[in-house]
Amino acid sequence: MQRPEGLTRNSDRIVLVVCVGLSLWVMSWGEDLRVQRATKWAHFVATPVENVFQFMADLRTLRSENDELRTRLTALRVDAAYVEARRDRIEELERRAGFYERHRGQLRPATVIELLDGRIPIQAVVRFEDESDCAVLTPVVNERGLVGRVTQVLSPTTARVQLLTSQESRISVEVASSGVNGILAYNGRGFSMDNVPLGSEVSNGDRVFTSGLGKSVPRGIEVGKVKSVRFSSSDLFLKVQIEPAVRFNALDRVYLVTRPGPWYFRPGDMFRSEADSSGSSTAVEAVEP
Amino acid sequence: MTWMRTLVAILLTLLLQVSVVQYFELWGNRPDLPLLLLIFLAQKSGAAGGTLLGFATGSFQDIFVPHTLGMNMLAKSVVGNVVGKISENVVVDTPLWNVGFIAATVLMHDFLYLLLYTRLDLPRFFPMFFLHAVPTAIYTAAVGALVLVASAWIQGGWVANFSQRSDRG
Repeated sequence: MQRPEGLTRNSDRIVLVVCVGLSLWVMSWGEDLRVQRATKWAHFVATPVENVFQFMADLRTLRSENDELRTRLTALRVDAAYVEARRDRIEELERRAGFYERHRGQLRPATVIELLDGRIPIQAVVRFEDESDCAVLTPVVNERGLVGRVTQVLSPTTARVQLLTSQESRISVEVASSGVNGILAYNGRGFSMDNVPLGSEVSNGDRVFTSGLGKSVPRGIEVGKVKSVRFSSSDLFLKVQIEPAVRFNALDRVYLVTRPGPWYFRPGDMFRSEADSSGSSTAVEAVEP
Repeated sequence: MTWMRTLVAILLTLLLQVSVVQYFELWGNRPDLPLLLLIFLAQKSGAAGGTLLGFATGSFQDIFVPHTLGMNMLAKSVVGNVVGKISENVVVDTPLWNVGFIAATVLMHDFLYLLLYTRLDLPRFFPMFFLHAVPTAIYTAAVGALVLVASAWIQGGWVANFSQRSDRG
């Protein structure tokens, strides 16, 4: 329906008069009021525009990060597939060789509530999340490696741990690359690997793991790496200095190894015996030699 | 949602005016893109629509320059009204007319704006008008011509129509 010409003309004029009137009214404001209101309106108008631009920038960042993550995910998937294949192969070889087994193990989380004796602590008191089947000599680890062993169960949820920094601590260890065995000890100044015969293959930077020979600690938990190797012709043994993997003055979360974890141990050692004797469903299967 | 698109177009043009157009400055003069957009929109909206569009464009321009608050609103409202009214009554569609129309509209706008800006101080008004408004009008008309050519090239209508008319003539 078409509007009458007079009405159209009148509405045009009314709109013009209103707009001009508003403009004149705005111009009649004082300088301060104009600045104040204009700032407020500009903020009102600009904020959504700024938000849109910010959103677009965020979106761009998100996309690039997403691409990067996808790339990393793909690379990790490839790595995971490779590692899985290698693990299967290793398990197959172990099964054929018949002297190593893999077990998922069990770790109990615990919190260090007290570090005892000096700048470099030699003992710690830990508290478990729940009542644990913790016993004396239970190994204690953190994400870096072996921390120590339980020496005293104080209550169903607390225990005293002897750290590797205790001068009374002795742990059987081996050099990963050559299988050379020794005893890890702390002499107050640093860690050493004792009883390593002259001529053994030990080099700086070699990683050192528990050997499991002492039977209190399962095999394969990282202890540190070789810092220096010295010898003299008059000695019977090498002097091997070890750099520990764990930072003993910054302990917070630790784990009690209530059953050996994803490391290797020999059939017949104390953990297998315990598992077998307890009749647990997670007992290690017999291995065909 | 036509009004929404129009609003976005006005905001984008203002954004262009304060960001990109400064790089196309010639002897201190810049094309007035918001005014150019207003002319194009008012030609299609009629007098009332043109007035409202002019008021809206002027408002957006003014709130970022508080000292001139209201001047662009008024000048653009009047220009929008006049352009809308002329477009309702005059049906001429030649390139020369369009370019000349744009230049005249810009001159009219700047005339009003500078009168308000100088508060009718004529010794200040005339130099500003001739040194600023006239070159700006020419520059804006040239940009308007480019926009029209680009628009016609994209739509394939105006150039074809024009050549057909020339052939007939």
